[in-house]
Amino acid sequence: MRTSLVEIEQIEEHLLNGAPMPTAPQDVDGMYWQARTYQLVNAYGRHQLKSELQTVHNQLLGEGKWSRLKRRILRYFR
Amino acid sequence: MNAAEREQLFKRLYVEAFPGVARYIARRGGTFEAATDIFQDAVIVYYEQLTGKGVSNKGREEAYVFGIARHLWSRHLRQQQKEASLGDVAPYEAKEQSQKEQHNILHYISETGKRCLDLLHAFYYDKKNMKDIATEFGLSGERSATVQKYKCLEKVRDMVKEKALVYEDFAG
Repeated sequence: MRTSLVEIEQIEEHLLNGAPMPTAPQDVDGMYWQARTYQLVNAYGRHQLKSELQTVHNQLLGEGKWSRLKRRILRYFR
Repeated sequence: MNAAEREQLFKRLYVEAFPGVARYIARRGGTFEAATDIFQDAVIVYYEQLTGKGVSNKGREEAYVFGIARHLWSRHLRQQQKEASLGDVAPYEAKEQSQKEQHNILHYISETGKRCLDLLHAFYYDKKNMKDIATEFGLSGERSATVQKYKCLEKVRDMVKEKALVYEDFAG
């Protein structure tokens, strides 16, 4: 692997697996943005899940559907 | 877990756990929409625990998801009370701006680097192994998938940095 990818691997080992912190100056900046990237990937994952959940929600409880499940749940909110 | 397995899980949870969550929130003055949001967030928390720790709670799924939902509802109420009592709304504007920034960056990367984002999502969020990732993304093997993962991490990191710095310039 080229050097930049090795550095990314080292930063990942530190951020996700508790390895000693890389000490080269450029790694500090890289560490910050890599940590933000992991956060963004998590946010993307949650966004995808929400979308899948909403699809299931619409299948079971969507407009025009009057399943027993929907009647049971809406009764709680009267 | 693949998409079909997730759909089965979500349908099962909707049938088994959502009614209890909905009743709990309705009795505490919440709306159907709030109950839906809280329930979906609870399912996401549960899914992350399933994939992260490999814990199976199949026998107690309903109770587990209900417990998470109850906690999220309490947190939601505390947050509402806090917002109502605050005279200065600046901290919440800052939080909204941060969420908006993240949404914009995510949208940009979804458009220009979707394959990389999907690969990273498969590894870091869905916790798929390298063998499955290699198959899913048409890579020659686990080693190739690992190298591609780091290349994608580098690419997406650079895009995040570029977009975040541009956004900060405009936001002031």
